[in-house]
Amino acid sequence: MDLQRIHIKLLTNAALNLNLNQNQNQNQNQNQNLEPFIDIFGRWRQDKKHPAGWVDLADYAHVPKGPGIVLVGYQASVAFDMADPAPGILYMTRNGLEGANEARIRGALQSGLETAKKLVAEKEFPAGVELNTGALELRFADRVETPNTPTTDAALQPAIAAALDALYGASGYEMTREADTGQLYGYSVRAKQVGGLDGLIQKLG
Amino acid sequence: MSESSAINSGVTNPEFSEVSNLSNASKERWARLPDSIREEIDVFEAELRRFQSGQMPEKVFLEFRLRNGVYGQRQEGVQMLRIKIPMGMLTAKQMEVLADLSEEYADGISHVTTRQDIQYHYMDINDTPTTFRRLAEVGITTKEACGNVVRNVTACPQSGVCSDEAFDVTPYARVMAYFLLRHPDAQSFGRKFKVAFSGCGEHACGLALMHDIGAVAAVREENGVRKKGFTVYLGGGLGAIPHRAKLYSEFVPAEEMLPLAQAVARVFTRLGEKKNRNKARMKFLIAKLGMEEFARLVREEFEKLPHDPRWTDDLAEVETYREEPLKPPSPLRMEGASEAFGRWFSLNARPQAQDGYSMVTVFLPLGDISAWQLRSLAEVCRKYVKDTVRATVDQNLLIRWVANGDLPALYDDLAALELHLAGGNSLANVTACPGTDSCKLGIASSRGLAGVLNEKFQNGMTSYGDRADLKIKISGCFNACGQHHIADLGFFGSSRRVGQHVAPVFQVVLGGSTKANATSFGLSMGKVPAKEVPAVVEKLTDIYTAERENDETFAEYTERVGKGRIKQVLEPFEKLPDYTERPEYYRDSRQGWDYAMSMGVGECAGEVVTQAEFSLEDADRLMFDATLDLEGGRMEEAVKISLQAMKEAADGLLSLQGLLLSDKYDTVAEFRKHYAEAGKFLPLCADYLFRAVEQGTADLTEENAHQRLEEATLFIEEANGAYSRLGGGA
Repeated sequence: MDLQRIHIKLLTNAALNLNLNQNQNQNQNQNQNLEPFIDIFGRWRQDKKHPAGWVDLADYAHVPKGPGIVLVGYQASVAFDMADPAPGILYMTRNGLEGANEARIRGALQSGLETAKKLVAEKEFPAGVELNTGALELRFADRVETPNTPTTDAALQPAIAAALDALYGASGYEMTREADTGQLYGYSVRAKQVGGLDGLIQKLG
Repeated sequence: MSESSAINSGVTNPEFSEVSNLSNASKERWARLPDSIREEIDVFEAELRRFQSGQMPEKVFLEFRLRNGVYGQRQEGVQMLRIKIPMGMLTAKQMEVLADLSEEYADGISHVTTRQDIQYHYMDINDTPTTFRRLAEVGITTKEACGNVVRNVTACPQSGVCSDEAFDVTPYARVMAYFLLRHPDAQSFGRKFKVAFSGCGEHACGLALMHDIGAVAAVREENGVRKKGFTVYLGGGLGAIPHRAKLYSEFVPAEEMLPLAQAVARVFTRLGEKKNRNKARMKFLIAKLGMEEFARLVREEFEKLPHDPRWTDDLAEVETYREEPLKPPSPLRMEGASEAFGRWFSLNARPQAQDGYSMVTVFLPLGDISAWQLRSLAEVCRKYVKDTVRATVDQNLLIRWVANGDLPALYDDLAALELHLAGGNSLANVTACPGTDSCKLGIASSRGLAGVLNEKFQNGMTSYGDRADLKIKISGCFNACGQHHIADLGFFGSSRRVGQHVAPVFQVVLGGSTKANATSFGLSMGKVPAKEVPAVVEKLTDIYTAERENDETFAEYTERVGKGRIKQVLEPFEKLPDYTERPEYYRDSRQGWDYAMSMGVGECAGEVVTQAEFSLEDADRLMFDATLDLEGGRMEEAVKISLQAMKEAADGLLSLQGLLLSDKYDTVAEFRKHYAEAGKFLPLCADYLFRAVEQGTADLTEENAHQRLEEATLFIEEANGAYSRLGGGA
């Protein structure tokens, strides 16, 4: 099993009616509300030394409940994703993970949280949108390597649990496996207590 | 005909997968693929690795990967993958797999193209072999989706359910698609080659007249018998200089369509331009020769074609082709229906020729659908229809055979997926090519502009967006991939410099039409800044509404009032303000930074790689394969493959003499005549081939097997030398 494609989505309180910014005109649509991410990611992509190896922006703001604005990288991509269960910051590794499974999952979680921290600190990040650091969707985006089967779960669940134990504490969260076998293998994770991003990043470091 | 039964890959070595990086579990899974398909993909993977290790010239690999659907993006190091969907026909299972792959290997989006393909963007080329295998599991190929070959065969998405058609062209188009796929006579073009079918001459859906071969269904009575055939047009194409296809024949009997296409391909191969790619489409050859002479050459070629049983055998499928509804017909009851449903119904649903059924457009802004939507849509389709979904040339999906009584429930199900947007057949349905988002040729952001218009049609310009009498098509440059020539309101990207700053602008092309299969092209009326395009759309729509006479179309209106009047309307929008006053005019649509003009070399007009170059590369690959066999102690196999490699190299050289693989000539005899006896090949090396043929694999020892491989290597080296001495086929 060669884990490379791990998707981590940190959910936000942004309403599903797409009005990210409560101060904005209620009639504004998704296209307009996602515009801040064009500016932010437009700046980020200029950083040629970033380990994600940024390539360019893909603008899917016109796709309802779609991936929004995606900053694509060779090693990882990031998006403000509008899909269910709620809008959130989606960090997707593509290449370059090394080590044992637990180390790869921890590495992906750490990079995802650091990216989220940087994103919410941007001046254009929509006011009023708050990250729920205790609501996390974890998916393994490779149906060949990690099909959504009991066998995959038997092989990976201990590594996932170990990584989440480090993040939230051994009894500090609940994890629910994606039940639909047509969907990517992974877990919805809900922490019992919500902590700050800095603290969570430190726990993984 | 399935993809698996329509293969002629010419690949024979079953051991090739030994060099791939597949895990054992994956190998077992892919072993279930049909042999020829599996081998073809294994060869792609092996060639990719050879290229990555510097063993294959970039020029040859580029055309090779294009011919497998892998296209370089504007952004370095990532690929666009074009997936052929013949006639746009999709099953629910295929939709699920397409959704899965976009989620895992691309950016989560499947993009429907104007030629009924599906495209992924931002792929890692290393993921393409696995993607091919997973597509092959559901009968889909990317083979010949790009490059100088026959592209996806398209057809009117309403074929079989339209009340205006002469007959359902679907099975004929399908047979044509698989007949031409991998056909040896369609491998040596100077440029791409496109085929389209349409069920009628009146409507736009097939766009037959903008294709290299356009076939429009026709019926003729002969001795009281109703005979099916096609009115055939040749040499159409858009691009910077659009050409309307010219009539070849009013009626070609259906059973003659495959040999006719083969004959056209052979004439185009033989006489088409190979060096100047800007003049290499078949439309330029026809313009040069004249249609009369071109048609004469095609007829001559047709007469001397060696008989192929597939011409008639494949047509047997036509007789058995059936498309069936899942449910019995039923009436639609509008009582209690919501206003939203009524609007959607009027803009997205159309009655079928079959009473009690409708076809429903799933409107996809910019042709994009997310993975979860596509996967869920497959499930919705299973509830209402039997695998009768088609991608359309308007970049949407069409669900056919919906029982009318099911329309409200289908609407609700689509709404749950956010796929209930009204406007599939209206102005809001803006067509756009990828433009600067991913295309190397793009000058301005056609998708960005389409996104801005899409936003305005949903918010503030809704009454404009709902109009069914106008269409907008946008290209990122003059090459017209967004089909701006055939739109009422067409736009193509350009740029304008003012002092130190450059602004994105769009040329306004008005009065084109998709009617009658795209027979009329619009005229350029002036340039406006990208920022002004929405206002221009609003203004033009207003003046057309106010000034049109009776049922005048927009094309008729612009022709009547003349360029002067239109110019007058556009003039207030043409001015580009100074950067210091309005810097936003110097930013492209939906971009927060200043515009910078940058244009690369496009791959849609891929560099011409001759058949000889491909064959010489194949010979190298086969020799590598033979070496592996020798190392593994499989001497007989090694020697057999080394002979195959020499013949491949000889075939390559023979292609320079005008011989086509489908001529089924004797390679050794022809090589002897054209090269050995003509003094164009080192006699010593030529003898290696002749001796290998004579000796076969009898009495092989490790020593002489090794020697035979050495000789084959020298033969291929000399073949490369001969190719260079002959000026690379010049």
